[in-house]
Amino acid sequence: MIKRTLLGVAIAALALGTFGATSQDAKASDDNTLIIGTMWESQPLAMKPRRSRFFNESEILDTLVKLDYDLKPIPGLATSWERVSPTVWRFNLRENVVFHDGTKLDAEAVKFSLERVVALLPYAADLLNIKSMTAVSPLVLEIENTEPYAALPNQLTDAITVVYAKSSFDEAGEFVKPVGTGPWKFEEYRKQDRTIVTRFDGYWGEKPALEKIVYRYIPDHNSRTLALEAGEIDFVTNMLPSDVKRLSKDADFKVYEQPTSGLYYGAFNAGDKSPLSDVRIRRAVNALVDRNLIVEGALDGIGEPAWEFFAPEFDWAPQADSKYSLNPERAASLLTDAGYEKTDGKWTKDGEQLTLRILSYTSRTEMPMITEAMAALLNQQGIATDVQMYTWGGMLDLVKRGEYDISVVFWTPEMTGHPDLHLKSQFHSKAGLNYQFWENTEFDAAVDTGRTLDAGTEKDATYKKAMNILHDDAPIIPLVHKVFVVAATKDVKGYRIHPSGFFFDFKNVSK
Amino acid sequence: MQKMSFTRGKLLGTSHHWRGYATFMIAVILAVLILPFFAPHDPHTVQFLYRLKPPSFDYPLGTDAMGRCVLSRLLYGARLTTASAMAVVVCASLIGSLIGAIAGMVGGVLDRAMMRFCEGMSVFPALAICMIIAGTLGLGLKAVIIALMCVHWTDYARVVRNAVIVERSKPYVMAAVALGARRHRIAVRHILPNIIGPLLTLSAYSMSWAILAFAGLSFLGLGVEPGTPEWGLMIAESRNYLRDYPRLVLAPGLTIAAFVVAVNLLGDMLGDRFRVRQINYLH
Repeated sequence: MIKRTLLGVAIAALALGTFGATSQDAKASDDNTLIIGTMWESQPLAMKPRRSRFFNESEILDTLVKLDYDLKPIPGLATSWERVSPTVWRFNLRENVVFHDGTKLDAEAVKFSLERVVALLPYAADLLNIKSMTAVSPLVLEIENTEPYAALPNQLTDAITVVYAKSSFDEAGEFVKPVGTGPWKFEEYRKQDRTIVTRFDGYWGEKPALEKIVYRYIPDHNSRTLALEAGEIDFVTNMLPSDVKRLSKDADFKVYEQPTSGLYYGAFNAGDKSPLSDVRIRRAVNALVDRNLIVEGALDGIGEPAWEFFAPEFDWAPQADSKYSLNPERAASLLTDAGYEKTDGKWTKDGEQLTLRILSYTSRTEMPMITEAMAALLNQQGIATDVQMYTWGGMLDLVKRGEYDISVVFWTPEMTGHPDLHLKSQFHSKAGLNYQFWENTEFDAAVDTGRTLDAGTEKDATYKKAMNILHDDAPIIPLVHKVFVVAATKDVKGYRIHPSGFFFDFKNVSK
Repeated sequence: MQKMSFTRGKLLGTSHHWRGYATFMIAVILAVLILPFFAPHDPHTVQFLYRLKPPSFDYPLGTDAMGRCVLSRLLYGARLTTASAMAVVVCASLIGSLIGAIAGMVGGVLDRAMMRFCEGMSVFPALAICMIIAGTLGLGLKAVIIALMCVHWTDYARVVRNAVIVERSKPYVMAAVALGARRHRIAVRHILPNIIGPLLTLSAYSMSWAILAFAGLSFLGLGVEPGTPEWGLMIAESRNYLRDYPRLVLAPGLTIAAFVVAVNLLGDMLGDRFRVRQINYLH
């Protein structure tokens, strides 16, 4: 009985994993409906930082400021903005905008929404840096910051700053469901299955061609693409590199491929529990891993080798003065300095080989491949590894406790078109998301100042300094710059990849 | 007198089969231990410039997505899988038999309590228990072996307990009791040799169970560390290439299937030899 049960479960898991997607409602979509297969569940009923990105990505809700295809701020719900004093920004709101529930958008509504966001999402307070908000007139909102804050318009493009209608919250102020001003309104959510949005005819911008979009949650990376090939979905995200190759050759499908913001990197544990608390070893690891081989070997060439923090395509962020490079000789001298000795091709100290515990998670398509490739490259150079794959949450538990040496993660540094977001939220010693036990007071000072400065030489110099510290003190090993890939059936027209990687922009899509 | 001699005859027969079985198992273990020496390459060597190559003279089964030799990984995997499955079977059978024998010999409240506990254990899906145990102990080979053992010993406890109760009422045991033998001596010297047949048969079946369970847990990512040459893990790692390079999944998949069939055939053979008909097989 036990044997059968176990076998049954294993087989069922295999079968579900591989073929599960093909069993239901084939060809459910008509010309006015777009069905998308996603890697992560599009949860419309939770308002957590990671999840509420979906509200912006799917355009159920709008932000005050949006980013164009060059990642430059453009009008969203605000048509223009200006600084009326060093610490005060004035936003002029768009006229005749209505929420999905029929209420009108005005300065009071925006104020209410931003206050709720700051109250409910821990990292919003630091992101927005708001001292007070005043609705000067129905369409003018003034935001006063605690310090001169040049970064505010860019920060207001972040997905978590979307503007919610009052009816998104219950009496106690807790989030209930997304009611926004976007071209799509939230219709239905089926747990672990799909989220449906429909066209909002009262939308302030140009009316979308499609009537309905279905976000189907297909976590298995194989089945997601299979579902596209079986005609069950029209559009698929986060494909396996091997599938990208195959579909590119297939005339029935179109593969969209473009560099977007996003960096796969190994975050080093710089705390006492790890050998990586020694900066020399952090630098040595950076000089030992050939990123070209990771892109070629683990990702079938889909990605760009990352020898620096920000991808070179994005010119609004200053780069550090030098890049990392593959340099085993330099690594060898660093490791020797740190007291290690190479015997039998292994780096050892006091008879023990340098061993790194590497953690990552499996839910994101490329993670296991990148992690394993990095570990293999370190092994070849004489550093032992202990690789363990978890769920995102499982990994984070260990990371928060400092029980790791490297955690391989993905983050989108360029999401707001301003260097502040990623640098401050991940690497500032006071940042809630800094689990690396890395602390550098000069870096802290630079990113604290950078966000207050207007575009110009001083801002560039400040961020250059921060980037140089990040490079020299090496709290991470950048691995791969993301190349965003989606595929759709050939009937899908008008889609364009947004370089933030967090914005579908289905308004112009038809099929 | 007549009955005593019948018992002796059966005992001799049993020990004969026991020898055959032992020889066979030693041969298998040796073969599995030696297999890795025939591996053409180091199973861990990653060659990114030589990935996903088709079978060739140098790489009889080709290379995987990381450029590692598939055949070498299969051969090394044989050792790891067999050794782990053996560890599970040996530990589970020792613990389970001991507990089953105590329950069967002592009887009464102790017996009832133990058996209800075993039944309770078998109500839970084994995979779920394994996942909980492996999750609590942390990932790794040791955790999986302990988890499978924890799930599996109850089968042995129940089989041994039932066999002991059947045997206990037989005349040869009564004779031993009449001669004043102590309970543990009766269990070890008289009853155990008579139930060794069913036990060995069960162990063959549980070996194939352990191999499958082990591969299943590795496939789910609960077993060995990524990169280890283990059959279940090899399937999991090649899953992403299923469409374009089915051989990467087929090689470990067919190996597992063949291995399990072979072990099951051995179990059937043993079952026939020992005329095991009435064993209360629980799985």
